Amino acid sequence: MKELNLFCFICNIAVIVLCGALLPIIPKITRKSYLFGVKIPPSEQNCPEAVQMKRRYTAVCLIGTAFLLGLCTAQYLLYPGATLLTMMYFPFLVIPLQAAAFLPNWRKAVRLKEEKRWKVSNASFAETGSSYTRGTLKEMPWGWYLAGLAVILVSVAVALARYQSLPDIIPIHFDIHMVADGWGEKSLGLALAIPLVNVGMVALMWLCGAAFVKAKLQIDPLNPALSFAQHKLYRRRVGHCLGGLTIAMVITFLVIGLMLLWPETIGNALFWVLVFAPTIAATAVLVAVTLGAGQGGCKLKPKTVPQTASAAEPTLTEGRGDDKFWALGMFYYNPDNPAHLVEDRFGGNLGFNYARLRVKIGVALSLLALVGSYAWLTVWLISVI
Amino acid sequence: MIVEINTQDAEPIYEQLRDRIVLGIASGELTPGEALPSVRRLASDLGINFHTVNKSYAALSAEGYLVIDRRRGAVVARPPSGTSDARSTRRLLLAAAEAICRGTDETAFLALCSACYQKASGRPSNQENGG
Repeated sequence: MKELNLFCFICNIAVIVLCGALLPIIPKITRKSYLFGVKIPPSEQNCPEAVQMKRRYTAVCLIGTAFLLGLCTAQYLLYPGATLLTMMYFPFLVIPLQAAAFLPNWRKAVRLKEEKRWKVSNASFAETGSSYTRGTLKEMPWGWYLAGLAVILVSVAVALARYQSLPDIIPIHFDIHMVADGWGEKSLGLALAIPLVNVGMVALMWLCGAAFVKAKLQIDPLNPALSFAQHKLYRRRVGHCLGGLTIAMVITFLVIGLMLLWPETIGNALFWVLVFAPTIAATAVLVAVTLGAGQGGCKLKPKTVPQTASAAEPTLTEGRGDDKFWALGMFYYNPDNPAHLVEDRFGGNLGFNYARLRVKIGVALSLLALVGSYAWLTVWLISVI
Repeated sequence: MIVEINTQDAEPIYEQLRDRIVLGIASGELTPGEALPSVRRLASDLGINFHTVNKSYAALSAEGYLVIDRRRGAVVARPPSGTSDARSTRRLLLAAAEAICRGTDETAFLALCSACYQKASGRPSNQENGG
């Protein structure tokens, strides 16, 4: 149990350090036309007030991260038995941390825009020849997902071939030292459980990839044609990274599945490297590509920009403009916009249009599933501890 | 062709969209027979209501700029040549009236009309050429 608590404590520290390192990067990858969720003239991005706000944001993130590290360490030293529970709930503390760093700056940015009477373009763009969304599923890097399914098919064939020679009782659970402590009767369902989980994982990753290519990205009013070219490149690069991550995760489950079929391999360190290394490497590549590309690929320099006639000189207007659709600068709510997924105004993430019924239902169901599974897990863990 | 609309503009969005498509046809960016995006896709890309795009397409169809094909959707049409509809005449009359109110004389107004005509047709005007 001590080792398990130590492992959970290290995981907690790793999560906090990772969040602490990533949160201050967010303003750097956000488009220059946004300041803490408020649309501003890109030329004002480095005005003294904006620079000061970004400094404060970074300071709050770092202080918050240090506080969380202290809290996590205190929990481990004082109540080591609760470390597993802490691992479940600690990631959620990043939400109030980011809110504490972001919201005061969002309020300041709203006031600043009003006081300085900044004028911005509230134009929307579309391209008649291509689209943000049309044909995007065809543009997805299908090869990765099909290769993943092919690997799973091979693993099913291996499992079926091995099934006959499996002993009647097989290990299904292992302790922290990787010594079997749970056993089950041999069955076809048990032998094929991991490949089935693997298929579900590929389906989930495909959904993420599809949502990514279908999401609506922002256009720079000064150079819409460049934005379109950047989006194309961005979608291709990140799409391949997501595909690579899918394959890495397939390998992870594949190796776990093989280890269960040949339990003597469980003690072998090489297999554990094969379990973790591909996924960690693919995630690192995805993060590096996303950070390098900037929000919606705004930092990319495509070799060819389509020779479409540029849009007219953008009309600049004062006032809130389309800021009014962004509650707290974070949550998009525009009943007139048919899009379900839009580009966030802070960071490289995608966000929902909460005015759409399907989004409301999806978010409600996800929250319900999250709260339900957490409640069940918490009750179970408390009874075990 | 890039379509730009401004949701904060006083001009109704459906008219902005209608005007942009007419400008595209005039300049040759949109060619007769070319299919326009579906109502759903254009609305989604522009972040505006489906009905707004529908209204623009319906107006353009009524004016003869588009043909609504059951299979291909909205397709660019070639309006009857040499004709000028009442709406265009009314708009030009208004532009002339505004020019008069601002003290622009007839020669300057006709020169402006000529420059605008050349710009709309996608050709560089004499003024832009320095001529």
